[in-house]
Amino acid sequence: MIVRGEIELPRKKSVSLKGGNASARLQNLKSEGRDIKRDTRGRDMIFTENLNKSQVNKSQEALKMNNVSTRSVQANATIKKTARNIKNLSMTLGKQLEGYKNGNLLSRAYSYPKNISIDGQEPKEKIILIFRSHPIVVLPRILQSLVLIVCAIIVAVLFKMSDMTNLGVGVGILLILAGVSNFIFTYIYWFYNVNIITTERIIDMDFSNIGSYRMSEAQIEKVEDISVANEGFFASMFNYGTIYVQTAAEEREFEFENVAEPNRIQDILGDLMELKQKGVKI
Amino acid sequence: MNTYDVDFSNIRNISLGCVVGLLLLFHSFWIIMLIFRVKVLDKIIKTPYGSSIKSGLILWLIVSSAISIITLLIVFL
Repeated sequence: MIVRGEIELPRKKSVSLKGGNASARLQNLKSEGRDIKRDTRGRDMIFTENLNKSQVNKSQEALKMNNVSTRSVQANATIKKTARNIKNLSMTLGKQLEGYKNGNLLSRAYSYPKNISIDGQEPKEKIILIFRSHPIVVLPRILQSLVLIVCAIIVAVLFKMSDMTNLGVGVGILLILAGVSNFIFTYIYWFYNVNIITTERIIDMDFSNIGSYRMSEAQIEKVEDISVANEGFFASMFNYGTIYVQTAAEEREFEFENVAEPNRIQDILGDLMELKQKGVKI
Repeated sequence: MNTYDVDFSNIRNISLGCVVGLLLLFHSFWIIMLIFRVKVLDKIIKTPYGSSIKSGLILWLIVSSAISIITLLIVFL
């Protein structure tokens, strides 16, 4: 009768299974005069042995025991590996967030912010990171304001030359007011165009114009894929880019536009996602 | 037959003054809209800066409206 069993060998022969080295154990069996043939396929060693009926029963029991012990060793190793992974992930995440800890609510990124709360925030939910677009992105709008103020001076001078001083003053003041208001709006636009990562969800708030705003959110568990696009001369120069987050939530795709250090934010999100998937309470 | 002298430059000035006045009015309206928008956004994300922004905007609305009224007086008088 032929019994066919499988023993999973460790990657390195020097690593021993519970109860001894697998190869050594097989050699011992051979030295006892048992007729064992071995065949190695990858990590699995397949052995065959000619046995009588009682030996078959014994062998099967031994095989079961061996499988159980192998499985428990594997399970222990997996648990240890997972624990090590979680520890490493937590440490990496902590280090990455530490870099943003010295910011404030007017910074482009600020970890563990104080004195801020979001609509619908649960008591156990904590804000981990709040980040905005790179300030360089609003530079064109600031330049617009400056151009309006310069235009005001030019218009006033031109109107004065054509003997319409009063009207020149009117148009000039209008342009100055428009320039200052545009500057104020640019600041508010930058301030409220905010992205938030909490222990439970990601929030993308877009305040594009005075008539509308958009707020999207998704649970971190539902995040499927995170990618970064760093395009253009200025984006490369000042290291900002757009983070695309694919989710299984209602809002399929999130765009964190023109974020400074997008790779770092991507890493933070990735680590959080992994920790959440492993069931770790953050 | 009666003839009338019409000062076209005065008409031009008045119509341009009206345009400036309308734009200044629109500017004030735009700031009021912005104040309401900030009020809504501040409810969603509560920060200590929200109330400062609102106060700043109200102050700017008052200042800019005052400037607008003075400007219109300069244009028309």
